[in-house]
Amino acid sequence: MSTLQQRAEEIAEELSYLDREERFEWIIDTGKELKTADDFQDHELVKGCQSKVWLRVWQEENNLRIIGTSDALLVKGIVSLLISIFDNATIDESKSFDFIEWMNKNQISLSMQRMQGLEGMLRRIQG
Amino acid sequence: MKQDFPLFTHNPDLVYLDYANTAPKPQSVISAVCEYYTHYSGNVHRANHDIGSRADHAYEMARMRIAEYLGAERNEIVFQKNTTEAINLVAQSFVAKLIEPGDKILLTGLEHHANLVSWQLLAARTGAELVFSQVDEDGCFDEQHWLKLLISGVRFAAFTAVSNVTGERFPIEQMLAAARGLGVPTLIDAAQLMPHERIDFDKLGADFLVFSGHKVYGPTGVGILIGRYELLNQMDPWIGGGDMIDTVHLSSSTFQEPPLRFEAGTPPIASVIGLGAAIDYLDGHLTETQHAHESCMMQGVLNALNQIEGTRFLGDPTSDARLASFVIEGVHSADLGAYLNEKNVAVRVGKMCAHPLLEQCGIDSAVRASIGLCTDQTDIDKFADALTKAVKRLR
Ligand SMILES: Cc1ncc(COP(=O)(O)O)c(C=O)c1O
Repeated sequence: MSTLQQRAEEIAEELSYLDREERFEWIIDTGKELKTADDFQDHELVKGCQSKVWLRVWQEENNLRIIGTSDALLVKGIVSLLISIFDNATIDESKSFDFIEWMNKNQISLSMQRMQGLEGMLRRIQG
Repeated sequence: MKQDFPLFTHNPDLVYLDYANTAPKPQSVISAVCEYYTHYSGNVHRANHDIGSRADHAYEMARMRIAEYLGAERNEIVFQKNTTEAINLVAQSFVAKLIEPGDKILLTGLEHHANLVSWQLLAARTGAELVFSQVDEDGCFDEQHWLKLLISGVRFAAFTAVSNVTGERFPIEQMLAAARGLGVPTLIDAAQLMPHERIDFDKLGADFLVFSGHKVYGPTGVGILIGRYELLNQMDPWIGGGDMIDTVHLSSSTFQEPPLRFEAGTPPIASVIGLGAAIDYLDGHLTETQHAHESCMMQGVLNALNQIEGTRFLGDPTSDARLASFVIEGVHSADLGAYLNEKNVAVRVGKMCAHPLLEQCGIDSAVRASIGLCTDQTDIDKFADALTKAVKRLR
């Protein structure tokens, strides 16, 4: 199985072929494609600024498992990105990965991050 | 008109539809601010040198200009930080003294938080009860209900002149006449009225009127309270310090006359001077032709929205407003705002500082497009185009 770092690098490579506008479209597509559960509970709600985000985070052996969704498409795209990177990672791997820096490095628009209460999501995932 | 505004020179592709949030600044305002800092950046009201006197003069000239434009006396114009602070001043320094526990303060269900939370704080302090006129099914102001509450006996009435969510202009003239008839003092939140309509404070007959400089094409950091002088003169200051005192002893002080009584400490001098220039700009440009132009542009915004299936407006969009808040079925407002932003269209997304109203409409988050002096057909066309694309892509 790939490590968190490898998965992050694969996605970064995919993004590197896209310009700013395409990256934005890519997030929308990623959001549209996200498959998820439909039985989220209130306590799984992460308060975002303008949209609702649900995350279910649990551990299987030493690995982190995550599913989640949002009522907004772009946020769903971000949730999907978080899952691609963090799901199945070890706890140690996940704690040492700086997702916001990774977003910045890969030029995923800042205003988007801000509006999504991304920090709240990361707190759920990274503790 | 855009050529007067450096924001548009520096962002030629920008479609700015967020005037109701804050307005762009014309060069004349920027120059007035710059000139103060460049040529005569002294303090006011304590001048013992030329630079200070020049600053003082410019500051007081701005007050004079604003008074003239609004049909008020010079000493009825109080500089505050913004609309919010001005409302709080009236609440804490004027209304607080009127209130006995159980007395009612009349508001409407369409207020911005500035004209709601200020009164909640006062109510908590004084035991006043807040009563609200209802919002009808279309999200409009219910004048009959408001009148009924007014007649039932209230100590004070505060209401917005134009809703920042629905754009509805309230029948303030009739409301003020009714309140005056019953001897109920009034405050008008004119934050959204002033950018689009010239008013005459004296003729209007309100006791207090407030607005923000930054929404009338002026600098941030300054807002206006206009109050009838005899009422201002009854008010104790809320914030104490330099500039607002007459005599000071260690245990007590006596205060300056209004308006200086309420302008403690060094004021935002540059912003006040800039606001003077903004008022000059409004005076020159808020013409009947401009009014007709804005109506036409707003119709363009509404046409674009009506093209989209599943658009729902908050309030009545046909009321010749200057803004429209809406939701589009199957598209999250946050997504729509972000998509429009990608296409250089700036709109407001969220609850617009009016949580109770949105709650009543059963809406989590809406999009608001608002127009102003510079809005032109190109903006409308680009907005329509971006909107159509956004909905197609996001649904
Ligand atoms: C109707 C209304 N009242 C008050 C305010 C508050 O203005 P400020 O934030 O400048 O104090 C606003 C601004 O959004 C408004 O639209």
